[in-house]
Amino acid sequence: MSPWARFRSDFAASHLAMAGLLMLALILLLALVAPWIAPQNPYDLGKLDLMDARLPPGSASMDGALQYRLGTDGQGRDMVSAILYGLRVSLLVGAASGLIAMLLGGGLGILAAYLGGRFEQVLMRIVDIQLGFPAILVALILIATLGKGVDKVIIALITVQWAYYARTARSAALSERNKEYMDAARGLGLSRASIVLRHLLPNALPPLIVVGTVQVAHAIALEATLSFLGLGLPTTEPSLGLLISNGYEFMLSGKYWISVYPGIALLLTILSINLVGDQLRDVLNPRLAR
Amino acid sequence: MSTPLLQVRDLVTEFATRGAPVRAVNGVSFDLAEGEVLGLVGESGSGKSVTGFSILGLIDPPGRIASGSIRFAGQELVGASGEAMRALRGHRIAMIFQDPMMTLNPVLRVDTQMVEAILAHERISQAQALERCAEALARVGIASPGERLAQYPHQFSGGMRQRVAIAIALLNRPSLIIADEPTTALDVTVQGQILFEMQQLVRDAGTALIWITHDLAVVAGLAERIAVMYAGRIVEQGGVDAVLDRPLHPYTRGLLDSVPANNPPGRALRQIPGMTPALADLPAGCAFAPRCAQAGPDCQQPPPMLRIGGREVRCLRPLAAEGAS
Repeated sequence: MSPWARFRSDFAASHLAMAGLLMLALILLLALVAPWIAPQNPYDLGKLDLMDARLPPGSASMDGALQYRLGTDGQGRDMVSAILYGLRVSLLVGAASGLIAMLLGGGLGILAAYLGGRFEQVLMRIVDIQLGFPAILVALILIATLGKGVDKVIIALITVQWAYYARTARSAALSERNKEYMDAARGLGLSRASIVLRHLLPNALPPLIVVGTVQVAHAIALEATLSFLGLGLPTTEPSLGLLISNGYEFMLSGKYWISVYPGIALLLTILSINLVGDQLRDVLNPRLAR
Repeated sequence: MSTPLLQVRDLVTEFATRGAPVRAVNGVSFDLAEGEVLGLVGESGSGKSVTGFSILGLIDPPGRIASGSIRFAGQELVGASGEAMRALRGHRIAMIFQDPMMTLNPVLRVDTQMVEAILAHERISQAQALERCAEALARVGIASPGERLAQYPHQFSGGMRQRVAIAIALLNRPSLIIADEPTTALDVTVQGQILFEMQQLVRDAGTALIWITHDLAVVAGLAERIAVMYAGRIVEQGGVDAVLDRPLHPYTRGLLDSVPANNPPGRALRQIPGMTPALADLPAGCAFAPRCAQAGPDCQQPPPMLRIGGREVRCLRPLAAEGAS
């Protein structure tokens, strides 16, 4: 059995994790096909009708063309469409920042472990300093300086997250580096690049993947927090966090649906990612190896 | 006499510590002719593995080769460039490591790892390389090499993995193989098989072999010459039969006496009193003197290397050797 086949059967051993994976796949699919299945384009302000604002779930639009299954928000947006499009933004921001931060932080961490010396010292002290600040504070300062926009939020999230990957990658690579097969690879006269890329990297990858899934969930939550605080994304293209924030002011007047449904969508997204991440951690943890 | 394949002279390998640097290898000299098998024997920490790693240029900081010379086929290896050493490693000089469970990369298939070892040194096609890998596996006694090549290391038993490691070492037909206790982690029966096969293989290919071990029985069956190391120095070297039958150095005598088979049954086993000295804190004279029954006041002086009948012994009071002139 190849390692990949063994990994799959180990992963499938937990029904909860499989349910999480299924849910995550469904959410990804929904986000992907949102433009085709959403009843309305929530970003097209010309299509929105202020007369339809804050309608409860199940109401029909004033012109009778649409039915708002989950109600509308303060601008008269269909909540179903807004949530589908919001998922797109949240997932894009989470996945893009997570992936880039993993490449950047992971690469630097592995290089630090392999090269050692001053480079490792300096890099790891920067990581220590960075991790000493609360993530939300760093992100807030960056957004305040950079301004609004999806790209700016992604940059802020990468800056916040790369240090986690760097630290994990370094410690994983350090423990792999001292294993005998690394000496053996050097004993074969392989080039440095091939030792790092083909021998060190694949073996240091499992913990990075685990941190990666957890960090993507973090990034989505952090983006939602930033949006909730009114920073980050423009109000015309609401992410889940912004939708929750928009509905917040109407919560006490009984118009719960504007905040609650995007909140549930956010919760399910993060929950499914974490379920998958937990199982990945168990499967890839060498101490729990069966 | 022609120049030997490998000539190690006064090799000193140090490791930097908080205090003074520790000399793991302290003035080691030996020669190795082409096709010759040398047993490098010593306890843990005697510097035998570090000697092997020094030859391959695999000493990492904080360690370094402080002085001495290693000439391999006329080429000086101490101070050679990283690229020059990389070209030699796995090509002209191969290494076999101690733990077969750890020497193969767990995430790569066996064929991938073997082909990589060939292509690092030669420009040949993937198909040719694969063919050579299958041949190499067959040579070390692995049945149906074609199927085995496509498997992952965890599908091999310990003995099989060590055979794969040996096959990888032989791939590029090296002139010298350094084997660092390759059979220590294996069952006795498997150990016997591998030793026998190894002996055949190096004899057929004319490959010189340095076999690093703490097991005198292994050396007795395999090596032509033996070098005994203690605290970073070679204390005795010579032909394997001469050294094992009539040791000149009290330490070699002690090692031989410690082998359970050499002890009368039912009696307490003989052992060398005391412990191996810490390398950071060696006695001024002979490093073995504090544990030595022969030691006298003159042993506070560093002992010179004496030549007695084609053998070398680093001792001021060598044991009487019958038959040695």
